[in-house]
Amino acid sequence: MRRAGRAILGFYLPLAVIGLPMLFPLYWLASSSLKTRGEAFAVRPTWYPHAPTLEGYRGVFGGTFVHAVQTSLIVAGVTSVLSVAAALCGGYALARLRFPFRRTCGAMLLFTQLFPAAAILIPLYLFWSRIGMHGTYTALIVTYLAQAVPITTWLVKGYVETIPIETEQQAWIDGAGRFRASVEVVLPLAGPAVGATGLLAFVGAWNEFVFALALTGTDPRKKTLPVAMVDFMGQHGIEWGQLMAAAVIATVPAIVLFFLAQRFFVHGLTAGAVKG
Amino acid sequence: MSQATRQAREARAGLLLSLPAAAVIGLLFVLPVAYELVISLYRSRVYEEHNPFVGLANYTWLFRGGDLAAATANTLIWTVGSVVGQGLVGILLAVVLMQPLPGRALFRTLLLCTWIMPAVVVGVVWRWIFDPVSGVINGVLGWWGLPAADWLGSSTTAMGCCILANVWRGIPFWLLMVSARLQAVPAELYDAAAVDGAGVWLRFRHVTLPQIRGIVVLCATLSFIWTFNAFDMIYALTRGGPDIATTTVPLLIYEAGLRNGHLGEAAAASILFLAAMAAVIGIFVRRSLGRQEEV
Repeated sequence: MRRAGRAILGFYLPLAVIGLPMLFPLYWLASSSLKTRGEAFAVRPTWYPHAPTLEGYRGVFGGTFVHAVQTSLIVAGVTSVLSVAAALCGGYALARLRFPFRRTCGAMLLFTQLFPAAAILIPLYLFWSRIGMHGTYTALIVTYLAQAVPITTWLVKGYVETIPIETEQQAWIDGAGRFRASVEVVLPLAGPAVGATGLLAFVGAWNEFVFALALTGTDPRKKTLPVAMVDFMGQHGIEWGQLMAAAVIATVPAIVLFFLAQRFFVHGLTAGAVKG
Repeated sequence: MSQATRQAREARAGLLLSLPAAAVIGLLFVLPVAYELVISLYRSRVYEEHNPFVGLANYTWLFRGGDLAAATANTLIWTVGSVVGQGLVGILLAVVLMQPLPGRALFRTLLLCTWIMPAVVVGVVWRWIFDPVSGVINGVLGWWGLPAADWLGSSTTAMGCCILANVWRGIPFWLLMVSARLQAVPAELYDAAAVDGAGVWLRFRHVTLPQIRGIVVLCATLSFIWTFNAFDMIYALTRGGPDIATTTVPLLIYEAGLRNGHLGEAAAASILFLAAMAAVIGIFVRRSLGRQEEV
């Protein structure tokens, strides 16, 4: 009895006081995406959709949002593939090879994660405008590599370091060249983890906003999903139901991919943190 | 193959393989900053043909007008408010969630979602929650007969609302990091404290707090830097308004440079921003290196 009382006081009560309000925005986002236009606009908000409808989602796929989803998919997909390719080379080199500036390279990778994106908006905007490529997918993808490559390289370096070098050395002794040995030994072992970093790079590019805002032009078909959502709010009489549907569509891939990648990465993140 | 040639080959392969990553850093971080330094010394307006050299005029212009000072003050309020709020609630939740009771894993997972979803989505959802006409907050207030308010549209409440939304977004990060550290605290410490008759608060104060001190400093530093640099949330919530009540330095750079076309001034503000950032990181690196030497 005392135990149950303490559980309520020490756990469920604080959880209810802080926890429920914390989950409310998530609930609000998901449930409101199913509301009808009129209900979403009601002055007296309803706690749950009284007449659940997919109106909002139909609106999303019927309007400019569908182009935004497409643009976001292309940009995030290409960014992810390219950054993994660069990360495989760089991460392996940082983990295994001795070469000049190795430590500087490693430190630089970490520092880029602290770098304020807004602070290089002006030069990047001018650069892409002056070479006539402002508003293209290429401009956005290349810029996104700046945020994706350092973190993927760092993660790949971490995975390669967990593979015992003896397995590779064994392959050299068996007569494989160093390059072949690395490809045949490291790649299959690190494969899933490398895939996970690719997913993270995808999520990063999918969620990104400030570069997308500055580097996409006025063509509404070439805007990424976050930019399209903010644009949509700028219009008169926001259709909240449809906006929430777009928000759900923007959120679901990020969450699904993150949780797929998570088991390779949250452990590494917190393990490093606890050590330090 | 001699030792020397092997080393040389390894060095060559290493440099070659890290070339793509190094190119990305060079072309997208180092070069733009150098270019920006140049832009900041010219009068550079989107709508003007000629860009004459003006020396430090862009910088003095920034200090003459009050906007940079106001934006700096806003950035500090936004950053300190967010980090303190996230830290307090995050640590509290981590301590509460130490007890292995049903529902814990689900709650953590749901909470983690808020950290992963696009910041713009967080901004959009909260903007609706704060909406003066169809927002939930005014709806609930109306229920109890309290007056409605334009939360994001009034300069007295806008910044507080932005901070609240950002605190919500940042809590899971603290929760995750602090929880991981708490799991590594030896149970004997708590048992010993309990034997000595220490209550919940004393155990927290003298056992938990010293143990999590390191991770709290790390989380505070990271979230300080991230919040300092943040753009998406405020832009989605208020776009820096009303007037410049929620304009932080990153928003000032965007608005001045890309919306108003004052590229030179925006570049100068960016350079100052980078210098401030470098100072913050420098202080942290120095302090953490200093502590490592002590150990």
